Amino acid sequence: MEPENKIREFVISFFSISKFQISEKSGVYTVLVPEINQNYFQKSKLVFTFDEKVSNEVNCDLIIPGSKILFQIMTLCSNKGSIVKKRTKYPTGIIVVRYHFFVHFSSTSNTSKLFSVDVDLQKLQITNIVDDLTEYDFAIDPKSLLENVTKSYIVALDDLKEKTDALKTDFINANQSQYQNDYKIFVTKFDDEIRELDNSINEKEKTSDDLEKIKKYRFMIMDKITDLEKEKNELLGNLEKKYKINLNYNLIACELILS
Amino acid sequence: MTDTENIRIQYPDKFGIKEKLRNDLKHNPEFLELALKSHELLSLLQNQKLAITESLRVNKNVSIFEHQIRAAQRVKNDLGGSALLSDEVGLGKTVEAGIIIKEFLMTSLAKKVLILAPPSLLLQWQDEMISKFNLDFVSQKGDSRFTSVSSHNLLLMSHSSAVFPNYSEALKNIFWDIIVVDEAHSMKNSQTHKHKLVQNLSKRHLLLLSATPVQNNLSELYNIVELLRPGYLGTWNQFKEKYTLDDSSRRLNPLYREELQEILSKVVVRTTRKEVGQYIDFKERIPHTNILEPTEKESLLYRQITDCIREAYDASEDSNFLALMTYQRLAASSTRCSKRALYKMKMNKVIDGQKYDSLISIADQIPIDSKLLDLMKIISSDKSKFLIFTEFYATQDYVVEYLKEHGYSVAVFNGKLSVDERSESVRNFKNKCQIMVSTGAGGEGQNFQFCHNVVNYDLPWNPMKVEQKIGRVHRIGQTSDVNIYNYAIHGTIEAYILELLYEKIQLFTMVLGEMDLIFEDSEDNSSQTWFKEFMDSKSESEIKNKFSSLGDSLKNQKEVAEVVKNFSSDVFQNFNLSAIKGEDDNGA
Repeated sequence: MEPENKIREFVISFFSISKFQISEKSGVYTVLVPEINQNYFQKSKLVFTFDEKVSNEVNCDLIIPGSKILFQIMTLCSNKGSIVKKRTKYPTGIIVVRYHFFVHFSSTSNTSKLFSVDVDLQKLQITNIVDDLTEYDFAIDPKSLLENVTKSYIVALDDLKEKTDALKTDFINANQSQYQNDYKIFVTKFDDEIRELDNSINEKEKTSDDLEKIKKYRFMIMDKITDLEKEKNELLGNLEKKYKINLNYNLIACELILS
Repeated sequence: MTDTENIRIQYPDKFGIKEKLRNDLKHNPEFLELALKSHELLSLLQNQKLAITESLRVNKNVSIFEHQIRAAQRVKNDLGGSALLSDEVGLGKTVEAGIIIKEFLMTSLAKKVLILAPPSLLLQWQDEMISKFNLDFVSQKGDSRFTSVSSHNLLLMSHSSAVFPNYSEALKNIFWDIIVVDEAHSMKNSQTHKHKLVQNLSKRHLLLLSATPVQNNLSELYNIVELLRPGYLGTWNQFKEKYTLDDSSRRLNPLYREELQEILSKVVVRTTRKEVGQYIDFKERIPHTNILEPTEKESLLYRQITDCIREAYDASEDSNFLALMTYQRLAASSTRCSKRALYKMKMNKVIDGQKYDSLISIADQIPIDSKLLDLMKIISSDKSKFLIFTEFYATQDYVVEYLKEHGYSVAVFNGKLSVDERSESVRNFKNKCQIMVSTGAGGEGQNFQFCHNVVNYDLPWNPMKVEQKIGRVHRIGQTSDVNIYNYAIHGTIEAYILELLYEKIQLFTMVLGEMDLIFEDSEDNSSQTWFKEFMDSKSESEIKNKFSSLGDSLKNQKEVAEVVKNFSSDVFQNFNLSAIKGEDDNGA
């Protein structure tokens, strides 16, 4: 699905699920914001469209990537963790936990992807439920939950790491390659500078007979080299920080499924 | 660098989902689909080349141009998020930086952003970031919200403040996702505190902005690139030996021109005015400076007020200086403002009650200000829109009342209006009213390209404010040449400033952005110097001499800026560093 359609579907679902009063006329949507949410949206009424042409004709907000309303809704939704109980069409009594992860790798660039992992809560094994699910409340043995949630999460994480391994390797390699590139030119420059200074002592010795002057010069250059080494180490620290990688495996939602 | 040292792995469960599972709690079930979809969308945006491009293109508050979007794309996608943005003056380097910052913030690639700019440009940056990108930067200077450098994710500081030991140490302890350095040519000398500070700050992305990165010789370009990618150009000796021809390093070696071009294209983005000429029609600024002869009463009132101020100036300590300067500015703005000045002077015991009464009686005998009379002639003969700026509320009220009494439709804009009222006022000016009368606040953040007549009813003493006001109207997107009407009354300090300072450097016809090059180092204290010279002079000829020599010094600054601009252009001549061509060159 195109991003534009995804955005439209997402925004309209949000207002419907949140039970905001929404109406549409000629591509212009009007949403009455309940009092409780008015502070957040800073308005009592939102008037918007998804169509650029319409936005030029009517005085209303245009919802596209980067627009304020979209950002507000996304922030609101991504800050609500969710747990739902569901069932398959013909359940046999097996309870499965479906963990939803938002995997986000970041450094000088970033990449992210959604993953879900199904774990049999009893056997603590990876499973894969492909059936359509319907919302359904059911009782679970509290002991089983207490004992197996952490274990099932660990099983899920192991599986997730396996699933994301290629993504991770590619990301780290690309990052490392950039780092190595920068590191190489950085170190080469400093080493060359130190070599140039070192050579200048030899030059001085060749061109001057004044031992006192040569001695003074040597000390001066040694000081410069010490300063350069210090500077090199400091900047190297900054270079490493620049390429520091964050690998985040965010648990964002979960479904308990009677399968 | 080994993996374990530099990789941080986290398994956040910020909603406490595991705990809730253990306790068999359901939580926001209706939001499951939405939570998944919002993350899916976030992922989609994060993996795009420039997620906010579309929203920028259609943002009515910002005129975004192709070269600016291309520049931002190149910096983000091809140059690793760090670059020297070196467009020629007036092409919107600030906007390019804004796009990049917004993009990185929106896609969670950045959280902490530091902008370092000359003190005279801090307000302009703050204004542009909020009005164009809805990015609320806290300024270290003159912003009551500022507490400490570590407390704000979006921080704006002047170069000169950042190098103060207290601030610089604190800045170094923070890891900055993006650092923007405006007028980056001030980092050209690697031995200065400014250069060393930027070099030593921990950062992921660095944006250096300068239309003139090379001012005297190529070592400056070398030092600036060193900040972006240390070691990229080798040692200075290696660079100098290969790419420069003479000892002073002022000439490029033509043999290696192409090679240097190739190298620089990985760190520099530069667009010229010529390249964008096909879609940006740059309009002229046409100044009309009206220094009017005062009526007898006007002259008497101004002279007597000035005498009182001078008497107080001669007698008082420095603590009174700014107040006296304000009275002087009020006295030149309008008769109503003069009354305001007199009231304040009486309250602060600069004049006694008797003097107050006698001067008020002179003011009452002035039926209409000469400036307003002249302005009425212009407005009545031209039916197009006029944006009138004044620095003071009293003058604003006076002008608005008079215009309305004479049947003109007038919109009012000032800092007392709420956000909604301001929008309403701008809408009225655009759709209904011929005239808007605005105080200084109108100069910040508002775009009035639909109008091409600007009136400086009184004169801002800070040249950057002049630029800010004209810039509301004369900006990319303006379709007509812009008339700038400047008023002053002969014999006032404003007349000297207009005639002997601003006219000498042709301030009002400078190309957009050029003024930054001349006044970037000013700490907004030039107005105090001018007032002091005015007060210390005992005769008109003395004032003239002093202002004339101040004007000469500004003229020199302008000439130096011109030489610098030309040198930068020469160095980059025939260089293909343009964002417009960049994408094609990369085969994208």
